[in-house]
Amino acid sequence: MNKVSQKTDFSGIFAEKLIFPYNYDLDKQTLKLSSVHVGDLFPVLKDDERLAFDYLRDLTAKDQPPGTFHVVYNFLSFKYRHTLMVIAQIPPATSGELPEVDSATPYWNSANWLEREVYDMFGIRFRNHPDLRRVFLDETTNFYPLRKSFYVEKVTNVADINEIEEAFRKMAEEQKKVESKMAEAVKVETDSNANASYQETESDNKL
Amino acid sequence: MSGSAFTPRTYTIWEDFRLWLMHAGLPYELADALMLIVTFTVILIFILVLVLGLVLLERKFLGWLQIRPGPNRVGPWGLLQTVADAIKLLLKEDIIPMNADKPTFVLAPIVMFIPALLSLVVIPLGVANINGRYSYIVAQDLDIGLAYLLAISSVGVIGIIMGGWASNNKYSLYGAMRSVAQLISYEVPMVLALVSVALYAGSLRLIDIIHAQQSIFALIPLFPAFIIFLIAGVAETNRAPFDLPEAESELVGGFHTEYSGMKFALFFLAEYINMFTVSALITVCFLGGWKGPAFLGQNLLWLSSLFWFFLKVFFFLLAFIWFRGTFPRIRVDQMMHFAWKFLIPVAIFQLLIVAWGVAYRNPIMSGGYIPKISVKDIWDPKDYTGFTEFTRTSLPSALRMLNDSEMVTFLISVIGFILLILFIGGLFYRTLKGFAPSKTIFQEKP
Amino acid sequence: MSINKTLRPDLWKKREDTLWTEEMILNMGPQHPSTHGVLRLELHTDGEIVKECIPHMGYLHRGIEKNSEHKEYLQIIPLWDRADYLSSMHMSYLITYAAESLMKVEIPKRAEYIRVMCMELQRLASHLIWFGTFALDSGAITPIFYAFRERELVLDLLELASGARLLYNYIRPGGVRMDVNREFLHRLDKFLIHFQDYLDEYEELYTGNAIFINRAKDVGVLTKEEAISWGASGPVLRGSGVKWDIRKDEPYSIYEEFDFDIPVGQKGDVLDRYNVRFFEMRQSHRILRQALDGFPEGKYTARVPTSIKPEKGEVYVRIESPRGELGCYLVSDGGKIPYRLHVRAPSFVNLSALDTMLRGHLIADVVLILGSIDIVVGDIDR
Repeated sequence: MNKVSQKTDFSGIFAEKLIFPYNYDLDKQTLKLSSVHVGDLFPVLKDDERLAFDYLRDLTAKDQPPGTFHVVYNFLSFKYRHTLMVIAQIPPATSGELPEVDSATPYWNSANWLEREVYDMFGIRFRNHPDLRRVFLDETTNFYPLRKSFYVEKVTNVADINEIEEAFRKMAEEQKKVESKMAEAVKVETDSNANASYQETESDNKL
Repeated sequence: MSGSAFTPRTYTIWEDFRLWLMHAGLPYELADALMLIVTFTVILIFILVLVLGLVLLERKFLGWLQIRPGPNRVGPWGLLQTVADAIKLLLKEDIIPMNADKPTFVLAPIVMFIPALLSLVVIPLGVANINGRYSYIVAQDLDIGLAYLLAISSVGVIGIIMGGWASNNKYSLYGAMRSVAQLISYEVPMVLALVSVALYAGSLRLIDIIHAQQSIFALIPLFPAFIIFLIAGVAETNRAPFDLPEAESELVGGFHTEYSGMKFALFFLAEYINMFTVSALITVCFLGGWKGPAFLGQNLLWLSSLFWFFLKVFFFLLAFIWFRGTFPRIRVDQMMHFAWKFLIPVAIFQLLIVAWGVAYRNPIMSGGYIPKISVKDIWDPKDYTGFTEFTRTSLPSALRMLNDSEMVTFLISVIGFILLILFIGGLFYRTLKGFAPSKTIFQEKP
Repeated sequence: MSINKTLRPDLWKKREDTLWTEEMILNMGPQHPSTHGVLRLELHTDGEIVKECIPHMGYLHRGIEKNSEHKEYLQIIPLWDRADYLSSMHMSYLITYAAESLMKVEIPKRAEYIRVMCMELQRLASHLIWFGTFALDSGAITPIFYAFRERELVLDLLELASGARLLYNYIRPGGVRMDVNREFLHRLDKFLIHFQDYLDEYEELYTGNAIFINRAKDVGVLTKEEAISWGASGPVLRGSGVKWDIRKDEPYSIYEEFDFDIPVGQKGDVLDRYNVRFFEMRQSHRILRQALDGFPEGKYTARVPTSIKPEKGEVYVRIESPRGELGCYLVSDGGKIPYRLHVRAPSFVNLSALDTMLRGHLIADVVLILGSIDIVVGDIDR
């Protein structure tokens, strides 16, 4: 949902411009699609005279249900003062590889750091990003803390650098274990319906 | 300047002391050695007391500016705060960074401190009347006192460069580089302003400069030079708004970032001594040094002269502290532009004005000593003997000596002076008028 | 003396071996007085001129977003207070607002008035501390004491309302934690009478100073297009000439009821951002005066259970914090704890435009430009 006072109907524009499956909700000002197509969506949002979304106000991600990643964009147009929320679902990647999405940085500079943050926290790689480094965490860490698979039960105070590295290594290992379990569960689901385009999952219908 | 009306030989109270010792029966060599020791000790103690007092004054005054009490815990009204700080600095661990250039690092504070100490030698603090003869309270009365001061004050910058380079710290290096640029730039207007003073007084000896201001302080005829010297003096002492070499918010302390303990204390001492030296130099060159009513009589002339001298110096020290409490820091390129594009042209202009005034026997522009023959006669080869005789007269009689063209130039200078006063008054008015842009600039009509 | 490269290659070679220039890397921070916390700027400099600036963050990263996924809503609010510790009222309101958007609850009018009053007071406190530290960055050491004098009055007021001086945990779903008393209203009235004079005093002390104006003018220019593209918000965006204030354009709480202006700069330099903030303080004063005059009687909180359960769904809400657009993306699965809670930190996004602003400027300007963005490292790192 996108809390706005002004509601503009984009369904006509989207029907005309977008040639891939999507799900547009006028009441919530939300556009849902598969992340495979976001690269085609961005030029439409930025350059179409009737949309003119020149301001990317927020970019983040969620994994709901655990293991299925969505990238969430929030757009604003200073010209028309209308907003749009875009939720792009990432198709499940082959296990062991990081999920990939097209970067929005070529269109909106503000996506630069926000995408770095998402990469840092969720391990989602952005194609064509000019400078994809971790923002907050150390470059040597290889776990992604905001994923649901990452959970630290006990916080220990460690001062020695070797102890820290050891703790980091353990965290990464645990996350890998949980993720491999999840991947098996997801595989059973998707085998029956292997399609890269956007699929409405059960949870989305309820939202 | 040969043939001038100045006394060729002055006596200092130290020499009187030596004389007194010799009268008491000591041989000359011993008396001389005793005199040197006593002079040196007195100056050192004077400096230490001065700096301790100055630091306390700065902290208290800044505190009052900043609506807080300032130091008030150690001793009555915090009077012993700086003593406690000094003891702390003396006892503190002396840290030398690992990759520092050690000899240079150790030498730098000394190189900065010694010239600061030496510059105090020629500054006349007062005059005493001993058995009807005037003795001056000055360690050494040099004929080229002004040139000596300028030469000595330029040496201190080498200490800053050494400290900045040896620290092996990028911030220190930046600070050192800035200070080199700054001191070299501001030396030029400072020297030009002082050349105006020397031209005005007709001498480089500081005591002669004070005597030249018998009737009128040099502040009034040389007002632009005074302002230039004040600004350049603040810049020379690395104080706000020209504290770029040690900018806390940018360079975290600049050249003395890595210094601690006694070495830091030496930098600190040098800065405050320089502050005193510049204030004293302004007082000597523009405010007539110790000149003032001898309200305690001739026997206690030394006391009243010291009183007047330190009153004037105190005013400028407070002004320095006031600047620090008021101004933001100037940027490094703006600082250079200000020196080369504004101060130096104005200083050269001031120098020309003074030269013009001296040449045309303007009694205001030449400290009351004017040549007996006019510039026209000097140019006439048959009268000119290569020897100009000066005379010291009061203003009305000096004016009577002028010929018509000299009278016209005198009137022009008076009019120019009145215009200058009006201009500066206008600046003050503009400053005091009040200023609140956010009330007006962005205000929209509903 | 120049060496002819073709005639004397040996000398040229010697010169290249012994004399060369290169870019110097200056690490500003994480222990630096003017980076406002533990932020590290990797500056590539040519002499004093900055060629490139790479900020390094994460020294204050506490993982509040992850922590929020394991705590109830009431437990989250004090956690987020610590993110942007200079405007924690806004932080509490943001989480409250996001949770309330997914709940069916009628907020009493008096509660909304108290919230607006507290948030505007917080804006004043935040802008005052910005003014002091900004002046300190520019080398003026006095204004910070004057700014803190008035900030103390504001904190006294907030303490009267909430019982705390920095991290309030005051605004919560349904309303506020406790009602304000008569003393608060009386002291607020007294404060508002004098506050305009204080602002005039600051401006006479500092804004008119020629040194300051020369330093701030045409420094750190962020054009309108750049500001929009880099996602700048708040005073940075308005300083660049975009008339956008969420309080006015996407009103939340009861901001529609108040009459106030949006200040806009022309050039987008440091001076414009400075003036915009000063104008905002005067506007906050206007809002506070109106809120105090129309302060209604009633309940200070709606009847809300201690552990709330927002409906299943997701929402993106935003408010205007002193630093810019403070957004919250909340995903709820209908339980007591949020499924995912992301906060769009204005300092973080504004800071990403720093490199654009300070290329070609001097090291002294870095400090000033950074001060004009008004970052809080707790807000950046979260």
